[in-house]
Amino acid sequence: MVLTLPETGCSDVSFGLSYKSMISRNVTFFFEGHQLNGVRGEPIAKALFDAGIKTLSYSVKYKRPRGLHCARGRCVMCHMSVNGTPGVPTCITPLEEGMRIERENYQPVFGPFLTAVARLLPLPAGFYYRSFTKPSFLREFFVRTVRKMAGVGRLGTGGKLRVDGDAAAEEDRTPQGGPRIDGLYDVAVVGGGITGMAVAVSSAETGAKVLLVDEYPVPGGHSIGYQSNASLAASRDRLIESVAQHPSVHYHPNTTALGFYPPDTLLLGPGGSTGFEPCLGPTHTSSVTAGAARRRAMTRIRARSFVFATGAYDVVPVFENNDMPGIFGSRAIRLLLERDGLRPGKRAVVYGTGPALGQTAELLLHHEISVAALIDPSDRFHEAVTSSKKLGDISRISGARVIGTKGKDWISAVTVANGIFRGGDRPAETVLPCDLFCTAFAGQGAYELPHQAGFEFSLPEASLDENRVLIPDRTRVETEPGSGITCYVVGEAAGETLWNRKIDSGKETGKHAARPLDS
Amino acid sequence: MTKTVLCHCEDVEIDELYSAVKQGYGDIETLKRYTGIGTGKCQGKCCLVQTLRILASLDTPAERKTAGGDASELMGDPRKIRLPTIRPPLLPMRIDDILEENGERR
Ligand code: FES
Repeated sequence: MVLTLPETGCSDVSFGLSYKSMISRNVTFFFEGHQLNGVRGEPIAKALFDAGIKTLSYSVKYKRPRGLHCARGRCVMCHMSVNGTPGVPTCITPLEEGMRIERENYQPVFGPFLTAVARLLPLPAGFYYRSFTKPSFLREFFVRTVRKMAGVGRLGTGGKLRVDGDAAAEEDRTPQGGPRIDGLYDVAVVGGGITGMAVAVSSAETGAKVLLVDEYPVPGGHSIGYQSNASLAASRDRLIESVAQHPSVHYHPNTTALGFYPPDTLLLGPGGSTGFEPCLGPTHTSSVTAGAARRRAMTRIRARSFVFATGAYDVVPVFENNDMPGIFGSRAIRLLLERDGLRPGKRAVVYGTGPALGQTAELLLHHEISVAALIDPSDRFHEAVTSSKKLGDISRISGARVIGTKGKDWISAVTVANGIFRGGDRPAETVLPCDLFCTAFAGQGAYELPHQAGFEFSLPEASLDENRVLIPDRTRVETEPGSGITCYVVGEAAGETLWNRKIDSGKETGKHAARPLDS
Repeated sequence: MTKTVLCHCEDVEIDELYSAVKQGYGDIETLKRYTGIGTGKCQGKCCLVQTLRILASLDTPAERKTAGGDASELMGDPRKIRLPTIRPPLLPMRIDDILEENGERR
């Protein structure tokens, strides 16, 4: 199968190796009218955290506090209104001079009062479709009031109105750089992490024209949360070099894959999705950033093969008060510590299984966070935990579950129950005070694009593990019978957790993807 | 107030899932519509897996009984626990960018 590959304005991104230059000077910004100081270029959420502001939004119904959680623009708990633009993920959006930042779902005047009331009222589950339904003439009033209290953020709050003819507004509208992709490729790779880069490079080595899109300005994916792992950082940097040097890898940062349309079209849009260039924090120094201007428009591309190296995200188990700020998955805590230089607590409890439990705890210790306890729901700890000298005499509880957290606006303790139980009597509980709770379980592969391309995902049947994740039924599909268009899912999206294997399977997949089916 | 919130965007509690299952809503597509799980800003990135795990764990007859006993046929077999339809855009987008795509940005 032969595809014609016209050059449609695909200019390759230039690579530079300085990142710190973006982050240097102190700026002032405004949080709900209060003037604060921060560092230009750091994530807005970090500047707020340093200023003591940890509640970034309130939940819609019960007005529960929400704070930093995923640290990578996924969970929307840090969404705030910035310069009048609602829904800005402040965890990945850089701070700029004079920014006006406001919480959504929150009324500054009656807000504290309404929030307190909504949080204290014993609103039962499902109250909003059971209560306030009769009498009918009052119903409308209730609905309107309740909706107003919930709120969804306002468009243009406090922002400058954009009037036609206004020079500033004009300037703001001019598309700023960012190559527009509208083209045909042999192989399109989604995700610029370790796996995606390995795929792109090995495909390109066979002579294929490869597109590599990544939603962040800097490639590397979650490996950016492993700065203190020198060998991993080195292999990542080697991959970045190869991506930069290979003429037929067309790398586009700041580009989000918004959807896959079978048989062969991928919709791309701006990374970070909110009108600001996403940022990666100040501790990250060795990577590429130049040319990472925000893409302003949506584009479509077509390819003969698609490789989804979309990575995985944290899944925090379900327990009482599981939405309390101060609870982080292992990926989020890595990004905060190693990418942003943000230390969200001083005393942590780590809950997880397998080697990740030990690795997460060691990372916390490395960043001078004390670890109060290691809790593993399975019967026995992984060797990496038992044999670790660094973990010393930290108390360890196996065969136990975290069943809840305590705290007001930030976590203050976790409740642990011995043994697995369902219903019936509650077993003995232990309360462990802490101001940080980290989980370290398998990540859920980002299934969205592969699912749209025809992969089915299901929970492994054989496993009774209550923290099991959905895995794809295969690693390759033909998007439509006879179309000759193939899609692959690889790396952590396919459940791979070991870095070496991610690189190897990425290379392998890259070769397959570059080879037309009918040759 | 202590709550176990399954879907953080829409504040859907775990008890709402159980009560919906009890009422016979057994598959993720109808549960989504009835309870609002996975319909918020993050579009299920933080709650879908947990919800599917719970559905899959109601797989023994005894547990199905605890959940109400009349859960729909689809319950209980992990193989039948599937993802709901996932629609683009996969992340929130600015209206500006959509307008620009259509050449209407001005
Ligand atoms: S989207 Fe910012 S913390 Fe999850």
